Parts: sequence; structure tokens; C-alpha cells
Amino acid sequence: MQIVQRKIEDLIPYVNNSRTHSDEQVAQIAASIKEFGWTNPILVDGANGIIAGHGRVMAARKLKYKEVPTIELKDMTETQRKAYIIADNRLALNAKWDNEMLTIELNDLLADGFALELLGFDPTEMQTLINGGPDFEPATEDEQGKLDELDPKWIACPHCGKEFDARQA
Amino acid sequence: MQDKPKLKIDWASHDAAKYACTTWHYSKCLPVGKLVKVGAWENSKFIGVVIFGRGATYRLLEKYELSQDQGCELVRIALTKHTAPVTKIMALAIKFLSKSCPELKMVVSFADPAQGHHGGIYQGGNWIYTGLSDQGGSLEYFYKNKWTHARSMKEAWGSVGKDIAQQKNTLTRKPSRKHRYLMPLDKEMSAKIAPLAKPYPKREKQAMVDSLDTAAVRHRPSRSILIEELSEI
Repeated sequence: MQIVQRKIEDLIPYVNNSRTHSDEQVAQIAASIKEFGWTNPILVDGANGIIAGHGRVMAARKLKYKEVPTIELKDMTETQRKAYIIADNRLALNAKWDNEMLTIELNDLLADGFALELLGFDPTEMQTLINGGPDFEPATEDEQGKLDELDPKWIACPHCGKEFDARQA
Repeated sequence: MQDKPKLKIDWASHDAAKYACTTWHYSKCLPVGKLVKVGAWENSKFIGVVIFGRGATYRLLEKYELSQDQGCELVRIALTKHTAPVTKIMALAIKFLSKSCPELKMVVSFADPAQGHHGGIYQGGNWIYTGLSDQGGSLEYFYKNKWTHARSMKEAWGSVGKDIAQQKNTLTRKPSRKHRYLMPLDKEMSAKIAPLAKPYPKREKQAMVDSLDTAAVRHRPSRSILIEELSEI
């Protein structure tokens, strides 16, 4: 399989691409490309149509790159190409995290001074992963407010000064 | 195939509720005032809270001929990633609420279209939709970098909040109208509010945010609903 540098302007995004990329995510991909370089070439068909890597192409545009590494998959049928565009995105989502192992790895990276924001987790999630997150035990009913009871409202009579509960008035 | 995690619903502490709201809810704050806080755990791991309170206005229940101690507002659903459906967590939380406050007849909740919410979780739970809320007379104030309701200003910051609200340069706005949903807690209330039911509102399509130079791509809608599921109100 040969990796070929192609001009970004020659690549054609798939019009019916069902995967969306927010500006924030494209910026994350761009930051990742800057840090790690190209680790995953763009997959294209025989006519320069993008099969996989729309987000990476958008990130490359953001970085003002002129060319990107590509792999041509010209032997796919039209139907296979349509299906693979979805499968390439969907199959990766079926993987799960081993959170205990992830916490260990993240803390190692943190100790090495690596910029963890490059990994793509949102800051709150990252904090929870690093610290393991607090684990709260159930509380008691006594700690809850009684919403079917009104609190007393003490009012002092302006004439005699005697206090009374406005709910009883 | 993995077994479904075991869901447990129980009372939540103030600290747990505060953590869930500040970490997992878009408002990033715990509501003020008297609260009933119901927590959820999956495989013994805390996953969030459903919180009931008096709501932002004492007139919340007036139009249903209920007094303040006969109903309440579902004020937060703050959950992290979870497996059990939100509707199930919410339904179990309401059972807990009814057990603790047996005199309650109805729960009211709101979905804010300004946050992109239409109330999908209430629709999934068969709540009664009664249209958009009134705008009300109270203002919201821009304080500590976020919009805060007048009641929260007063309850959270007391006289300081009042002073800030009265300063001329404090930004103010009228609260937006929200989708209102009702959940009756007994048969009598159910019969009483049934005639108020309107058709459920549909979710507004969100424009896809990207920068590919293809018009056909640029105008395709986003299909993600996960975020809304996680922080509906």
C-alpha cells in the first residue's frame, strides 16, 4: 500500500458524509497533527474522492497545509465505498475504555509534563479520569427538604409586638 | 455481551448534588432553597442526581389551583455517562419524591429552547405538555460571568445580590419562555390537567458547524442528540 502526497485542493469531500465535525473538534485534530505529525493518511478513491479523513483534511486546511498523505483504495465498488465511509467511523466507536488503565496512563503522561488537552477529552472528564472522580455514598431522607410543608413565617404584630405564624392567620 | 449495570436510586447528599450539578449540568450550579435530592448509582458508582425544588416563582402552581406545598418543580437532572435510560432514572426519582413528600400532587418541569432543549426526556416519560411558559416579571442578571435569576441573586448572595441587581451597569434580561411539562402524582390531578395537554413540540434541527467548502455538506443537519439526553434541563 503506497502513501502518496496529494494536494488538498484536489481532494473531493463526500457530499453525503454522515459524520460531522465541529470547529472545536477540527481544532483538536489540528493540534494533534502538529504534535504527532501525520499518523493516519487520508483514504481516497480512484477519483480523489475522500473515503475517510474528512476531519483531518479540514484540520490540514486550518493549518494551511497544501498537501496531505493519502492512500488510494481504487478497487472498492461504489456500494463498498459508501458502506466503508460509515464503517470507518462507526467501528472505532464500538471500542471501550479500561478506565483504571486509562487513569494510570494519564497520570504517567501528567507526570511527564505532557499537554493532556491534546488527547481530546473534555477538561471535566479529564479531571475525573485523573482523580478517579469522587464517589458519593447515599444520604438519608432527613437530609432532604420537605416540599409538601411550608416553613413557618413569623410576623410581629405592629401594635402589640406579639409574633404569629402567617400560615395560621 | 456485557450485562446491564445495576441501577440504584437513593437519597443524595448536598455534596453529591453540588458535585453533579457543577460538573455535569450546563448551568454549573446547584439551585437554591429547599431541595429534594435523589441520586443514581450504576454498579455502585455515583452517576448523578435528579433534584426537586420550589422553583423560581411562588406562582408556579397557582394556575393549577394548587398551593406551594402541593407541588414542586423538577429543577435539575445532572448525570454523567450512564447506561439506564434518563426516563427510568427520572421515574424512579419521582417515586422517591412521592414517598418523602406524600402530599405533593404534581411536578412541573421546563425545557429551555434557548439551550436547544425541547423536552425529549419528558416526552419519553409521558409528561403532559402545556405549551410555553409565561415570560414572568422577574429579570435575570449577568453576575459572576453567567445569567442568574432574580430569586437566586437574592437567596445566594443576600443583600450583596440585591445591591448588584440594583446597580445601573448590571446587565439584565427577561427570562426566555420555556416548554412546560407536568407530571400528575395522583389520579385526581391527572384528570384535572388532562384537558391542558397540547401536542409535544419537535426538536429543532441544528445547523452543522464545519468549514468544508461544499454547500451540500455545509447544510446537512447534525444528528447528535447525546448531549441533550445528558443535560436536558
